[in-house]
Amino acid sequence: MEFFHFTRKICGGKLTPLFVAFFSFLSIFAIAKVYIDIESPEAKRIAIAVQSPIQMSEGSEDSDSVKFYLDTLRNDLDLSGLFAQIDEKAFLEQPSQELMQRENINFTQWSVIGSEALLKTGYWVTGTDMKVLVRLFDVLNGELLLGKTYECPLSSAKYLAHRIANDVIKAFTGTDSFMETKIAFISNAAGKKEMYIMDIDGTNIRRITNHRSAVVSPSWNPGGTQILFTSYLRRNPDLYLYDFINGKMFTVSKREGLNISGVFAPDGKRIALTLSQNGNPEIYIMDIGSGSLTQITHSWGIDVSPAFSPDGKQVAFVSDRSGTPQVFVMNSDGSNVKRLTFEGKYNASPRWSPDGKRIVFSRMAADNINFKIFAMKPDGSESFQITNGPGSDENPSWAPDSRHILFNSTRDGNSELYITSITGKYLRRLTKTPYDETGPAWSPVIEFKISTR
Amino acid sequence: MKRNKLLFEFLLIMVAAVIFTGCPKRPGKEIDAAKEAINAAKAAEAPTYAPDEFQSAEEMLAKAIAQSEEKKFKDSKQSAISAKERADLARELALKRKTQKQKETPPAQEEVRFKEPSLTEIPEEEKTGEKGALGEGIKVKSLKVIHFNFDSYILTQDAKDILKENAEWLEEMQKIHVLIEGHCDERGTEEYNLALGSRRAENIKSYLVQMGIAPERLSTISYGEEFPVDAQQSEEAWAKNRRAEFVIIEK
Repeated sequence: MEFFHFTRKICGGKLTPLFVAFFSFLSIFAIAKVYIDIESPEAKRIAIAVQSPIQMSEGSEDSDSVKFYLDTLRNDLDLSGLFAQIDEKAFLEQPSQELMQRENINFTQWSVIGSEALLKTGYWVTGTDMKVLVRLFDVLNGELLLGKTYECPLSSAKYLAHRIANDVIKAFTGTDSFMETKIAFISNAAGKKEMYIMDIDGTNIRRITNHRSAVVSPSWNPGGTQILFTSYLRRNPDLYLYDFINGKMFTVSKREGLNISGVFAPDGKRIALTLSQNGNPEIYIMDIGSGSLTQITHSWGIDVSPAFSPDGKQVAFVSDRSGTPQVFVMNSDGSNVKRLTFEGKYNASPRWSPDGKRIVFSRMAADNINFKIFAMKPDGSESFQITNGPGSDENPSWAPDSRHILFNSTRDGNSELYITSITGKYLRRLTKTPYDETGPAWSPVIEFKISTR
Repeated sequence: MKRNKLLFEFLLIMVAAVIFTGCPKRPGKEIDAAKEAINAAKAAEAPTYAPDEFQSAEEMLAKAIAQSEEKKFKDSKQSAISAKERADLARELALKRKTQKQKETPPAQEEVRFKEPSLTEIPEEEKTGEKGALGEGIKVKSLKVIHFNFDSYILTQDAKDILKENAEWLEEMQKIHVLIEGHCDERGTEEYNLALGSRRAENIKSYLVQMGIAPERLSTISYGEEFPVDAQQSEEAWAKNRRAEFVIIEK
């Protein structure tokens, strides 16, 4: 890896493919091994020392941006639940430019304070841009796990931190994290239920609607640029689309009766929704381009809450055709309907994991009041309970990593948003307000413009 | 390994030295010019009025900087020039659109204004002063609330008895139009409850039509669990909230 960087530094694009191939071969030895198996409930947290960034050259300084970057990075590492950060006061080595080099670092000084990993960053501020050099080491053998340079405008320091946190996590887990995502949710903080978005760390809260009626069921498009939701803006539950790129809202369906539970197909070209234009709530597929509708359920009862499989070929949904609300699955043309849940009187809110391996849903507990979050395989087998404790846990939504779930719960009194791992071992409260936050929807990974080397 | 490393470094430097002489100059001037143009576009509020053009200028500048860092100076120069052109375009567009927008009157805020029903038809003693869930219409004493069992839209015998009385009153008041609101208790998912409320309202409409009320006089809406009458968490409160209400509206 070191060699490869070195060669690129000399004259970037001028290297011959053979040359690059040769050094890539060398870099095979530096491929990060998977240190943490997140699936394992016994996974231990890694003790990490995160050193304050060191300025790499004389020149302008923007200590606010650098501090903001560091705080966000530390918070992200904390939020991941994978690390235990060692108190900076225990550090025996002060950061310096020389100590950014592996050969100059005395790793014993880090292992004696109990750290297993060491994260060092150096930065340059030029004009309105910042550049950050990141070096992540395995303290035990001094191995370089991550060595990269990131560059972005100072105003993007926060997203830079999210990206670096993602790469640090990936160095240990082998997969992308959920640090570069947003959350859409509903809150009655302004009196009526309105839609908001925020960053995964609970900051950057922005109100999207001002409909002063009731807004429910937000759901993201696959690109993370649009949100479908239902609102009573025109005195009827109609389906709308908010587009972040041009900041506009469009009406998707305002047929008589229900226009609810809209979700995008993975191709982003179709949506599934529930309409009651003929008196009974049924599920339809709408082609966004042409607006054409295909009815895919035909039962006497309620059919609602469709959720596409990641390959777009199947749709999980909720129906009371067997007497009580239960989760069913069908092909996306409506054929081959199968019931998936048989335990419990009330199973609802199915959501398919991005990797296609599981369906998460909420089930009414034996008290006939509270719900708990469960997951099962897409054939209905191997179901297990994810959430526990007091209150009701509803509206599960998957993280793009297929390992974490966002939901709203009344466990601490009023309804707030929480993240749990599917093992249930990790649990984090995201909001703390006197209002009710509900219906959270986790965005796909939204990559912000940061150049890396 | 250490000796190998030194050897590689030496070789690299040799190769690099050969290549380096062929590298063109860093296009600092062009990049600065592009940065200046982007700042000018920003000052003209291009991020608001010409967001696509502005974004593409920013992206092109980022590309130019990246290429310059990678020592692809020729490409970088091209990118920087292109970034400047795009920024200039964004600035022009923004200025044009801004003046255009200022000329136009601001678009009217989309807001539904509820028409009040003609109250002359309704006897004074019937008026309750209560309105529908979204503040529309009026409720009258003779159109009584219907209640349901948990997760059910079936009309109980009690419900049918009340509906018969409601239908009789509607027979007398031929000119009024009624909105039937379906409501649920808070248990269960919002989406399923929206569907459940819809079935409750639709079932009542069918029953009233069976009783001889013209279907054109009846509309339905489901509010799911959004508008409880009693926000407490108790069996008693939930029983009150599982209901259908009647609101007289102007159609």
